[in-house]
Amino acid sequence: MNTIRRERYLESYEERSEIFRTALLRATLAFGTGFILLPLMIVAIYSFSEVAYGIFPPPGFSTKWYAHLFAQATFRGAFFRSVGIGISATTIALLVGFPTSLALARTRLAAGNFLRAFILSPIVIPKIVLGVGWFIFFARISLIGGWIPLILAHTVIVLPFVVAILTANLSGLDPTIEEAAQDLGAGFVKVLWYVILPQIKSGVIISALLAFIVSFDQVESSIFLVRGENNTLPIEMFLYMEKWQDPTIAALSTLLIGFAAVITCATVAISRGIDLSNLLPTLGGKKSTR
Amino acid sequence: MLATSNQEVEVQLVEVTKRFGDVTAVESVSFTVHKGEFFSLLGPSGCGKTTTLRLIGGFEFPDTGEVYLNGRPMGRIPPNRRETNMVFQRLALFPHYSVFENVAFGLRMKRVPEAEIRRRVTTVLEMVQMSGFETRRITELSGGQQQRVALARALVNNPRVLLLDEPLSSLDLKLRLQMQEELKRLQRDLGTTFIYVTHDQGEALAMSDRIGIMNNGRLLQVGSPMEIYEHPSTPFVASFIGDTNLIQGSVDFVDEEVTAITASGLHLLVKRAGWETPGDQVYVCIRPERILMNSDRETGNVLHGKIQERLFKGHFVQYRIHVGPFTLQTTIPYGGSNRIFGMGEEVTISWDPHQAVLLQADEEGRNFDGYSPSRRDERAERTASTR
Ligand SMILES: Nc1ncnc2c1ncn2[C@@H]1O[C@H](COP(=O)(O)OP(=O)(O)OP(=O)(O)O)[C@@H](O)[C@H]1O
Ligand SMILES: [Mg+2]
Repeated sequence: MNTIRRERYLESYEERSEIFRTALLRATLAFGTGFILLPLMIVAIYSFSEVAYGIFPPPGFSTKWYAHLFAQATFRGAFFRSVGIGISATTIALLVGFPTSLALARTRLAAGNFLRAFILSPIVIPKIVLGVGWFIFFARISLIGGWIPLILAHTVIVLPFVVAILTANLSGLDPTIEEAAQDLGAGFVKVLWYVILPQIKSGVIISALLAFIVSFDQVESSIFLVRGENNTLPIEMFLYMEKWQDPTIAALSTLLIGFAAVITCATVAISRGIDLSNLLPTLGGKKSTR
Repeated sequence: MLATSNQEVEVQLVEVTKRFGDVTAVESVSFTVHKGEFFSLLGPSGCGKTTTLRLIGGFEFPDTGEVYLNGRPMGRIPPNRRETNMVFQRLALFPHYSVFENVAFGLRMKRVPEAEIRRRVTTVLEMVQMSGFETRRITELSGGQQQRVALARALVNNPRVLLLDEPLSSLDLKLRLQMQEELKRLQRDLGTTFIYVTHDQGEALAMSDRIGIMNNGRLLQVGSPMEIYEHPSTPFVASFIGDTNLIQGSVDFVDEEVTAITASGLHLLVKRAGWETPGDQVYVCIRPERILMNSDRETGNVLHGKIQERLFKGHFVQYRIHVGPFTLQTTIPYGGSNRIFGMGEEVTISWDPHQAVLLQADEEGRNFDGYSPSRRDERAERTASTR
């Protein structure tokens, strides 16, 4: 009798703790999501304000700040510059990062771990320090201004993301599958093209999107490398805000939020089906080689 | 001798050694496989079978020695430039391709025209009974179906030599037996040279023209299944192929035709091997079905024992009999005039000295533990009796 009652008690205790746990999780999720989304929503609402000064809620709504935004040639130029730099940096990072990742994923040498740490280090180094360093470096070789310093700097910054994701993907591959392809007559290039790349396709796409977003977002690392004529979009926004406080920046931000949302949705859609937990150990730099 | 249709040499290994760090996976292995032959490599886990196959396929290169394919030394020629195809132990199918594309891969690499690819893939899928699965993804197949796709993917290329690494290991017994027959039939029809790795002695005995027995990276014996069964060269081979009784003893004296052995007080006669001298430590290997029980045709070795265990196996009955310090295993066909002995019954057992084989108790002799149940019993028995 006693044990039965005890079991029942335990059962209901477990049930109750289960319900409590679920409720706690949901509340945390709601709070976290709200914490992230609310400021963005305020920016979005503010961008439709009728007045030029900061007041919330706005006294009336209009789309005039969007019209004002599109009239600014500097923003348009900076946007395309940022996109161009982002695409270039991402492309170079992929071209350099893929072979690097392949080597890191396949090597058994202790040197592999040092190399990996070195390549991943820009993630933890303060960007402003990198920015100053590049300024001195590019000034020495008289290469300040134009796209090239920005593209190179951004490549170094996005490379760790590409390498982290691709090494995780490549480490997960079964090397005997490549041996099988070789056995069936495929040389190195064909193995790469028909066997390795198709298997890590989603990793390549995700790392490219992530690299692009990271590049697009750079301010501190780029601020010393621009000379007005080659301002990137975030820097142009920064400069505008130093002079004006009207909702034009809010309008631009709202568009960029939409832009980011599209990229994020694309990433999620692509990554569905691949195991994201795969990425974690290597991002931490622990999972070394197979 | 089982006939190999043609005595042309297809594959030859000469003194091949392969080390991985401290582990010597393959040690000084030499053998020859003829064109159209079904050659099996048999041995326990970790003995170097896969490594030997990978050396032939070009996935590993020998540290010393040489692999010859069709008379040509292979050196460091990579797998894509060898006329071999491999069915991998872990299958290694392409997860991102359909069944059809998996099988077509080898032909595509060789730029075979599309129409011919279609025809050959269809034919080979029929052959392995996988028609209708062309558009399936690999992940949507059962283990047995995957194994058949792996087989088809290699077969479709018509390789000179097909290397198979335990290709049937993940199949259930019924399908495995069926696929064994299928494979054997395919091999006969195509005339392809098969080098087949397995750790299942039944499979090797049933399918092979010749078998190579490996242990600890070394090739112990090569021969037809019957040769190996009749004349095992080491105690390890004897206990690995078929059931056997191994009786340890030492040579008493050597006569013209027979040799006398003393084994823990028992006196036995065995056919003379030729190498033995008095005092040698040896094993007498006698197969369970060669031992007669209460027979009126008693010859040579006659011993008295007591039935310890009886197992009914359908078409035969298996006994374990205590004879002095040993436990010997016998099998008697069930039915006919053979009577069934009871537990604990006293019996006389006998065998013709010419049915037994004398083996050297050498280094190999220490490595066969676990492959001969009667031997294990005997040892336990012996420790018990000495206490
Ligand atoms: N790449 C490698 N690196 C280090 N050691 C290896 C490697 N490949 C094989 N070995 C070692 O070599 C020995 C032989 O391995 P092999 O795979 O040839 O055995 P096997 O006979 O195929 O075994 P199984 O029946 O279990 O497949 C083993 O001791 C194994 O641990
Ligand atoms: Mg193996």
